[in-house]
Amino acid sequence: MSRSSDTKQANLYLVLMTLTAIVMIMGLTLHMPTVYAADDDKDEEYDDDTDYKDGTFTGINTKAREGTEEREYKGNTEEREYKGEDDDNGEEKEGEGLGSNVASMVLYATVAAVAGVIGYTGWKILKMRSKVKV
Amino acid sequence: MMYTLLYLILYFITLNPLASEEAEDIAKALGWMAIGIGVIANVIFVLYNRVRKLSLTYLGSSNAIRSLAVMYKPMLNMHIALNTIGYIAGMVHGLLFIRYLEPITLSLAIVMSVLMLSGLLLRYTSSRDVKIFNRLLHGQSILTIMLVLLIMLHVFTADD
Repeated sequence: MSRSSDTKQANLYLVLMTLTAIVMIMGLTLHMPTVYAADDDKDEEYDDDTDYKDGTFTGINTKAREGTEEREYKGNTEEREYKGEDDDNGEEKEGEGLGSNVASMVLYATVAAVAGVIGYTGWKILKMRSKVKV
Repeated sequence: MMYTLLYLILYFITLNPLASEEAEDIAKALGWMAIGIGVIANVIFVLYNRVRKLSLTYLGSSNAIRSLAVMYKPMLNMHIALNTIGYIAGMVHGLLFIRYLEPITLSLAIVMSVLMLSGLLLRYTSSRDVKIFNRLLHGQSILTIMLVLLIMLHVFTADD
């Protein structure tokens, strides 16, 4: 293989790598707000006690911890169970998000690679044609 | 032609939710069939090409090389025919499982379509530039590597 064809090959892989990197970064950037938004929602759910005030358990956070009233203590346990369910859901959401992110990266990389190869081939043809004309 | 294709696509999509477990097994078998046919079509053709080129380099001109050269057209036709069958089987498999469409499968469909289209254009067009373009595109090793990797990824992640 000649030196010029080596350079061409190197250029091709450089272009492909750059395109892949750009698309991957774009994909990550596009997916980041979704992940953070999901985390924010989860935090809000934890901080917001209004849902529990209307139900059986009121004032649980301070009194129940002290263990002064049995009913409130029970409420605290139930609330903890409820929170536990939330935790599980949160983990599932995060897991799905991560999985789909990796899969999306594969798609972006594929599209970038295909576009890169088609572009490189077209550029090669154009170069050949221009050489023939000269 | 377009209407037939559209009708077929709609047919598969409409029937898809009604697919029974047996129908799913058949659809899965179509996927494996596509992989098997693809392996047979490409491995045989690539091996044949390697042998032809190596023999040309080391043996020069002989009867064996002439017979290998004569075999090129039938081998190419077999390569095209088998790959077309494999591609159609793969696409039907994809249409039947379209409700489980995910990015890896979509990537696989894109790479398969690019390779298939470039191969068909390479064989059936007469324009010089288009032929050179498709020859270069069809022979890119990066596309082949991606195809193999995506098939493996698809097989490993399809059940999830």
